[in-house]
Amino acid sequence: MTLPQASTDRVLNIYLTLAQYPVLSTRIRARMRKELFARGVITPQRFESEAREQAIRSQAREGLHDPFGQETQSIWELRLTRLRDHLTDFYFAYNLPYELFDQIIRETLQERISDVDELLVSFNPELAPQDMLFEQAFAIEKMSPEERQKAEARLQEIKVVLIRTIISDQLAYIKIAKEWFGVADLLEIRRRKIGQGKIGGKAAGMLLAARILSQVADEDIRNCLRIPESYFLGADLMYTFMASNQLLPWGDQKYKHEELIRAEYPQIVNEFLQGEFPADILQELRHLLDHIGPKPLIVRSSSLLEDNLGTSFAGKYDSVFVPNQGTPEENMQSLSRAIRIVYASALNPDALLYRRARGLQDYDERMAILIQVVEGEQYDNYYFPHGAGVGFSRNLYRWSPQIQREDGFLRLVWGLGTRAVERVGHDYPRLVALSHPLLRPEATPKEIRRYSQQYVDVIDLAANEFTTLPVPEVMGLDYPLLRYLVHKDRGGYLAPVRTSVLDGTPEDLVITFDEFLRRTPFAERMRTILRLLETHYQTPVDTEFTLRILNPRDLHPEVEICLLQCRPQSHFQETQVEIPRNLPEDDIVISTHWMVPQGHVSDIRYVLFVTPEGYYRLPTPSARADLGRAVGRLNKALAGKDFICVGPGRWGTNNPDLGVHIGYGDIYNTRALIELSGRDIGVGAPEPSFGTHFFQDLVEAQIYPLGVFLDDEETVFNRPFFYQTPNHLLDYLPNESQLMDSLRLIQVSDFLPGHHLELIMDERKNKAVAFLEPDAHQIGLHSDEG
Amino acid sequence: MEITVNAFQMAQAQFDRVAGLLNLDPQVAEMLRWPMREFKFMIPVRMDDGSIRTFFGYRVQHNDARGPSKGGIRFHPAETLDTVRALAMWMTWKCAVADIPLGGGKGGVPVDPATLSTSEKERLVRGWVDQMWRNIGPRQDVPAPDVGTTPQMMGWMMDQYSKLVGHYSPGVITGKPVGGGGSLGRTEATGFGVIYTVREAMKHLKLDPENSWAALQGFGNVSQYAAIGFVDLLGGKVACVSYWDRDDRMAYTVSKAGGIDPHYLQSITDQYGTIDKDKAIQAGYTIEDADAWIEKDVDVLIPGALEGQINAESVLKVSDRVKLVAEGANGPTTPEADEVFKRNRVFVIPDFLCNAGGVTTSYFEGVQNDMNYYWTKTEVLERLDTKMTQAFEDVREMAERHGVFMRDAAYMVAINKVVQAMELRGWI
Repeated sequence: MTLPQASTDRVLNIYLTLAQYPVLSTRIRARMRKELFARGVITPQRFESEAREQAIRSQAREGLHDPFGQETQSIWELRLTRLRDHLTDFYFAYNLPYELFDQIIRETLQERISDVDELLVSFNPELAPQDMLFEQAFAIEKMSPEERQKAEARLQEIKVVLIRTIISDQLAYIKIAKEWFGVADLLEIRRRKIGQGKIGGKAAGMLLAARILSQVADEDIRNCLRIPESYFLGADLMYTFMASNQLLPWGDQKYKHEELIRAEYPQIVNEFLQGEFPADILQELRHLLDHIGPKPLIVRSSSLLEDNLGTSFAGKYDSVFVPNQGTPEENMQSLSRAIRIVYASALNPDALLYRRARGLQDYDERMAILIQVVEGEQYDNYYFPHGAGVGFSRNLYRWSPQIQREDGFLRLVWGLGTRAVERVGHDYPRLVALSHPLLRPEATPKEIRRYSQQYVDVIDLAANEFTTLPVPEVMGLDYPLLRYLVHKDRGGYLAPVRTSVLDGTPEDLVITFDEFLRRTPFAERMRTILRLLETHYQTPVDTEFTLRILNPRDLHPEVEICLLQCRPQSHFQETQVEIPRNLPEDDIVISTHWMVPQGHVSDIRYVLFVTPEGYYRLPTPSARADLGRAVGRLNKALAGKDFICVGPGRWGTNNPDLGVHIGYGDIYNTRALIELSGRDIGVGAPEPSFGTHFFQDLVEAQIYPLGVFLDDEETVFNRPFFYQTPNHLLDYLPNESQLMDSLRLIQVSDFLPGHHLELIMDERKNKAVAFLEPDAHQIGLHSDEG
Repeated sequence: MEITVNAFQMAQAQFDRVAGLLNLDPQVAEMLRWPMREFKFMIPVRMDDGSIRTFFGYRVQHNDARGPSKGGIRFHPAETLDTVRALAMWMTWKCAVADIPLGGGKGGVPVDPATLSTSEKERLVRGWVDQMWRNIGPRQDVPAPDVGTTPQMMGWMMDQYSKLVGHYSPGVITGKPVGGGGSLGRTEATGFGVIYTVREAMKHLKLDPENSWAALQGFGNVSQYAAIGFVDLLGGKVACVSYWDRDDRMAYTVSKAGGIDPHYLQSITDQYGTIDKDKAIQAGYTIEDADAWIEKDVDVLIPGALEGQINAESVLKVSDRVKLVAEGANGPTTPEADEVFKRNRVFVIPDFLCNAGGVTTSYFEGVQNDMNYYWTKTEVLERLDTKMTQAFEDVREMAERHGVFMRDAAYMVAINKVVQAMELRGWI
């Protein structure tokens, strides 16, 4: 049989009528086929094989010779579906009365699903169009309880297909998501989506987290929690964009050499920026901008792999702010430029090499886009939220034993959250241990001031740009939230802001967030939110959020938390290296179990060791100070080499009896800062400081503080390694021979040739071990995949 | 004369408004809206006829962050706990705005002292001290005379307190008679203090006092010396005063074409402020309605008696010529009337700034008691002038800097100082 002629009146009639029901036509045709089969016009087997024959023939007409190899699965399915439709129209037109056709349409329109069995056999969810899936799912949800029970499995199947096609095809994600999302949620997501593809990991994480909390959290949290106004560009649009701008050749970038990946990236960005969107997509983006109005936007990556369970891609792809304050045409330009930048970032070297390292290279990674209205409000010429930050359900940064790791941890900033997400030099977010929100590592007002936020990220509405400004330039004495965010430096002590009559200048204000944490239920809410998410994600999570203080003048102000993102806690995932079992005792250089953080320092080649005896034998305070300065010079000289510091008592103390007096500037190249404590150490066996003299610097630079209590039976301190190895001090500081007894620079390979040190800190087991490892042997990253 | 406004609610409303203006920490505001301590106690008094009459005494200590509470004891038939609370709060602001190291308190007994014999009054005030002595003292709470109480009564109270604590303790009470630990200049202090601020305000408004007229309400201690000061110190003219007639149990305005002679009127006024109206009429004065004072065609209005006198209704009678209102009394202007003054750009010297002269001299008295050395009247009044002028300047500067009216500015200065003290003491 050949395809029916298009001019056939009866077929055309049916075709044109169905064209008026673009959504229902699938279901109408399914019923038409059912009539054809029931009345014996054609058997289902015959119908299907005819459709396939037609399909293969049509391939030949379209210039393809290998029916399956030359066409992707999805195109083949599309071809089949279209031919099934044509065949249905044809057989129906020539064999059954038009009145029956009319009746089917009427019945379909009235949604007469009288028989559950009919529904269950009438279509295959895996192949059915989304409209039909939604329709069926809603129909099942509307059924009486008994009928619905029969259809429950089908509903589950439909939901899974919808989640897989709309949100994410990651199995681990689907497993959790199908328990939480309702059909209405999925429809809402689709309503906010441009393009056919999935919305990607970041969007998926945000939506799932919000959904989970809306079901399991108590009323207080449900009332204070929201997600930003969000829109999605399906992941397929990236390929559409690449195809229509001749960018597809870059698709194989991930298989190239690292050097080439890096070398070609600027050109890729350039070509992506030159690209243009097809007119229909531009039109949709224009509609979107009209709909949103002149609110600042952020265009965020939401790739298929990103934020999924097991991989985090933290910071690998770009996010771009679109202030959206220009003319409609300018705004459109900025929006599409932002999307192009994010698309290009899918091919950035960091991301590709990260995928390579984690075995994700062969996945067909595509970039969906999450467009969100930036949370915030206008103050002066600037737009930003009252606060923003990153929340971790596990606190890996403890500086005091009372801090509970299960209660979580925040990095909190005033203004846009970019400064909390990324580690920026010479500036500090407020670190909040959620078990003790008001506890901080700094002891004096001077230190608090030094380790406070100095710059703020805002959208400058007048200049129509994202910008970073010094805090005093933005924060006026009339800022309505002042009381919650800052303390006033009254010279020697920090006082909360009680009234708007403030003597002095904005330079006297220090961002502490103390009053915010003290006066609002925020810390408690975040603690609960993070705990609930961890429970239901079944893994520690990290989140991004913004916050808004709702009624700042009230005695009991409320706070609104806007969830921007939720994903498995990246640090946990990526530093989760197991301490090898059955390590030979001789290979262990240090083993301790005293407030151990989570982390891994690999490939340690040198150990800078201040010997306790030598240090305390130094006759004068100035000799000890000289040693501190020598440590600083050594730190500079060792730049680029992987080393750790080991010394007696408290690194950074002001009292030379308690430990080595150095500043952060003296040790910033080290990877870990190890403090020895015990009976024979110093005056009165000083407790380790755990880096509290410059804790924030250590956190930002990911330098691990670690305490070793030598008197403990389980502690290992390999004396031969520390004392019977050559001292390389003079190689770097030839004039410091007088320090040879007190300051030792140990090259690990001197102790055991061909070996380096690995330092693995397992926070959960509260155990850290530094051990010798052959150079050839790489410690593999732990991975939950598969 | 009835009190139709709840003075404490008014004080709180004013405070709330300024707290909003200041964006005052709501936790601190909650602390300041209420007194820290309140005492209500019974004082049974054996009357001259042998019967026992029961009185009730109040003492409210609103806030003592800046120093011991300070505030008068009022004997007035309309006294209630709420009037005492309101006035205690005002004392906190008054001491702070005048920048003297004292907190705010107030006490009272609902009684018309004119119905008591001298010995009955003595037994009443000694009874008051018997009940309160543990909670007052030079470093705790220092009462002073107020409406219906006199220096003589303060002497008795100081004596009673000294007996109970077992040593001479003049600093427990101020407003004592001169020679009995009192300060010279005390009598004139509040009224002259009003006039010092009027002088500074007229300077600011570029009004010439010598060509200016004032109308005063009341003729108690404050208005008497305000009138004398306006005439003698500034060279202006006073159109009228008003007073409470104890016999008629109603108020009158006493005026005279060409201006009253305050010294003469003072000479025919008894210790409770009642003017002998027959003598006044004989001397050519006109006796008018109680409210007549407010309608006078003058440049300066000085309400110098009780609360709530200028209200939404009476403010409409105020002449367009009035450029300056000096609140000699506590809380004479209701918030509604205040709004009218703001609209009409009438410069108001708010009560707790305007009449802070009394408490400042009380403070001077305590200072002199402590050092056991006494200044001359001139010294006292000079120091008072310095303090009042500085206080006025501080408030005017705040008003200008923040673009607010004088009352708000005075509150802002005062609240800020109290809050700072609370903070430094670690209360907040």
